[in-house]
Amino acid sequence: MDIVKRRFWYFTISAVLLVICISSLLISPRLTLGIDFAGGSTLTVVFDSEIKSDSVRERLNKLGYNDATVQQSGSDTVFIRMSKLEEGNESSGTKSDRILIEEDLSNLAKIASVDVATVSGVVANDTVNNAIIAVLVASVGILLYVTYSFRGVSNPFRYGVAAIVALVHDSLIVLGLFSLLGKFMGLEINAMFIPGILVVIGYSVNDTIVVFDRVRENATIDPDRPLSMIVNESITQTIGRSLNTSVTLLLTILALIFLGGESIRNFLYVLLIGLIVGTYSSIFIACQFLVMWEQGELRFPLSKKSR
Amino acid sequence: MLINRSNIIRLLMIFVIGLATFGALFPSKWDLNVGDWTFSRGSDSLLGMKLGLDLQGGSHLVYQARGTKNIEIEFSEVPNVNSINESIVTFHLENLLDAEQIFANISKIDSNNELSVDLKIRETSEIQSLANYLPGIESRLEYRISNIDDMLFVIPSSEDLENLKEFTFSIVFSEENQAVLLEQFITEIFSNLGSSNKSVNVKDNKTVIINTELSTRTPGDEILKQDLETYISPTTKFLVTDIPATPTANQMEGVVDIINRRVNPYGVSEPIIQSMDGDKILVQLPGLNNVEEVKTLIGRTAQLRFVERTCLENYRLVADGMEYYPCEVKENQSDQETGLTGDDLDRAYAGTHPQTGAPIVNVEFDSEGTKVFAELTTKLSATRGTSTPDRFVVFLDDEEIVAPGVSQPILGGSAFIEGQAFTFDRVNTIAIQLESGRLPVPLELISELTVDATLGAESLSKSLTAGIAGLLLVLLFMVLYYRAAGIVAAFSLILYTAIVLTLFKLIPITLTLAGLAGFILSIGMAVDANILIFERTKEELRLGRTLLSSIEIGFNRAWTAIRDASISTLITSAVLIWFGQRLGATTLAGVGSTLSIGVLVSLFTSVFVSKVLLQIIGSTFFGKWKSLFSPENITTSRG
Repeated sequence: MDIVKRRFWYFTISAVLLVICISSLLISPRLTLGIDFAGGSTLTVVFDSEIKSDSVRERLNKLGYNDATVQQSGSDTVFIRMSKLEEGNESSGTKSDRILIEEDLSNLAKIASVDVATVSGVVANDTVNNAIIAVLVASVGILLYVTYSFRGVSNPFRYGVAAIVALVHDSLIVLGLFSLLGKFMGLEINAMFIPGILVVIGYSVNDTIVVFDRVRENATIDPDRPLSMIVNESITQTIGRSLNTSVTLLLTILALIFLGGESIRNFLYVLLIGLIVGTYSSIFIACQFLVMWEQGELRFPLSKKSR
Repeated sequence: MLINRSNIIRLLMIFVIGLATFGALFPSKWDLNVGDWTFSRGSDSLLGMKLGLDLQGGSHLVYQARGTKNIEIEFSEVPNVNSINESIVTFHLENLLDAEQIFANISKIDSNNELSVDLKIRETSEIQSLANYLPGIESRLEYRISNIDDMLFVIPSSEDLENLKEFTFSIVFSEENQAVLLEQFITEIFSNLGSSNKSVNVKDNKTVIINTELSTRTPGDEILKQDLETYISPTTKFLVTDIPATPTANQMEGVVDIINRRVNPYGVSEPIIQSMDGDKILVQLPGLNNVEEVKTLIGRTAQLRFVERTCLENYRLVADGMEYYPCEVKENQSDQETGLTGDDLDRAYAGTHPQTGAPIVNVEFDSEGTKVFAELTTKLSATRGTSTPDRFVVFLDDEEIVAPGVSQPILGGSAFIEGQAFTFDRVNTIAIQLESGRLPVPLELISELTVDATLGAESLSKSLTAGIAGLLLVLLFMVLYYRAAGIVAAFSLILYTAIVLTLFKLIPITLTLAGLAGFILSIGMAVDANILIFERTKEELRLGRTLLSSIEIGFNRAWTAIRDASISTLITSAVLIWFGQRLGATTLAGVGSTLSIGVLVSLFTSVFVSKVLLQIIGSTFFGKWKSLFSPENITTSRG
């Protein structure tokens, strides 16, 4: 099985995917942001009896919260998203928005419980900036470590760069798919999205390293063989492991998606996409990138496709 | 010899570790006391785990020191003194009369600083006579407008009062500097919008800079702009800049202290109240139900001001002569800032009067405060015994908490406040309020997550079910695919889970939903390590090696991949933890810490436990049956 031979095909597939993803990221709304990034409040209100989201929406509009969106989530539960809830003021005797809403909605049916999340725009900005820094720091750390760990083979730096290329490829595709999902299905990005991306990065690198480890081993045994042959052999040897690991992780993630709580579901979608893309990219992007660099084929594809 | 000795010792070690973890997990509470050393872990929750807010219910609040904003305004033309005066009167009359259905018409009289005002009852109005409103208008205008020199306000005789529909009076203004006037007027407009704590600074007659508190409750800048344009002149520049607060570390510590004290009465177990990132405070209140109440309490950090209150007059003119006009009436008071604030107060505490035993509040000022307080009390005590005794008032934010009179000058900086209606509860409250006002750091809630306890429990049970289901699926897959080796992997994964949970409990790691996700992912990584090893072992078997040497070589070959993969995951975890702590985002730190613990433990269980177990099984008669260890059929003849 010659996997390396068809490397241009993989790059074409990835290039098409990336073009779609990047275009979606460039077209507004780039990402459908939840309150963690956009600021605002969410309320999850559980009533004692059945409730219609329409009647809740009507009451909120009457109270003057015209920007509130109300989603049904279960027969007795509604999920409300709105601009930031204001606190009450003791000295002027104003009640907090939350109390006002609770009092009003309890006219519909008795309220069993209310969950509240509020984020101001200030926090949101911090989060995004810190996330970017975190991804950069993690990438640099991994690049340095891989370069160090592969110091026994020629051009160890290339292995690190190839791992980062796969990592960037994976995070762009996850971001892009979430952008598309947000546009068409209203899927929101929340605070768990950033740890999600970081875990995907971790997994992507983890997977790449396993294959590279085999390349390193085979290259040490017979340094004179062309790298394309070595890479091809290494992929064939590790593909069983790659598939098995992916299947076990897939089982875990699917179990969590179907049985776990609502609150981490978005996080799991990130992982699911990241797992699939990460497995793909370690074999079809990182390894092929290595071969292309070795064979001097990079100038053309790098400017056009792999970025 | 079938099993070598060192492996028996290792097996024993694994057995002991297994027992120890189960022993540590199942008693939900641990309380050890050996001499000075105490060790206490666990709670009544599941396996005694320390649960995060999202799994047990409670509130996660982040406060930030509230900054200020600067508004720079440039007017298109310079309003002169007369037109400012006119606007001021219009502004106040509109505010005073709007609801009363009275219409005011202002006309200028030739003389430079005199205005004539014509009041009329609106045609649609149900009001019969202006008479009821006139005294109020006069005294309020006089009170609100500082540069009134004189008012020609002649109230007609009583017969005419019955049907008084129209009334004219005139105001004479004292000469006033244009800039001062403008400054006063803008301050008044601002106060009217409900904003407190502002400074208005007129740079030249065209440019004004306003510094005000950044508050979400402050009415929009748009309304201010509109008011300014209506009453003064169109603006050519209206620039709003936010200025972040820069509280000192000491101030933040003090705020943490106060919040602690305020939250304490609610009996929250293990609240977390800490300052972070310079100007933020993190408050975590697990298992609390009445969050709104606590939030009001926390938000009330508090600016303490001492204000001098003068009583204006004893009697006033009413329709049929003079009337006693007590100082308690708001309109009859004039408040003046003394400059004395909570910063000047050293301490305040409840106590009893040394002679009478009545409840009192003791206050002690610092050196600067002592000076100012001495001046203030000297001045105030001079009015004692007169018909209009002045007093000082203590405001906490804008709430009046106590207004004592002064019997004698207090020069030493320590005093007590007594009151006839004071109870021990009341003096305690006052003392706490005085103390809390020492910090001029207004707080703003910038992020909140409140999870109801029942929903938290539901999340926990759902995640548990999902986790167990996921784990079982993985174990099933491993056993079906790798057979005997799969059983070994299953055992080492169960041990892995037990060790990780034990570490979570003993360190302790607060388990959140995100943390659980990180943990379950680390199971994936642990499985991966096993798969790596088994695949290598399988390859060696295929090359025709004996089972034992295949296991040995398989482990050695897989090691570099496992090592590098683990280290890169650890790098990611470290970034997550760093990032999470920097941000106070416990979710990120949660994923990071559980993932890193998971990776470290998986190194132990896959490389040590799985290996020992495989070697032991391989040395027994099962070892002859190679296909037990590999999904493919490998003939045993060559072994």
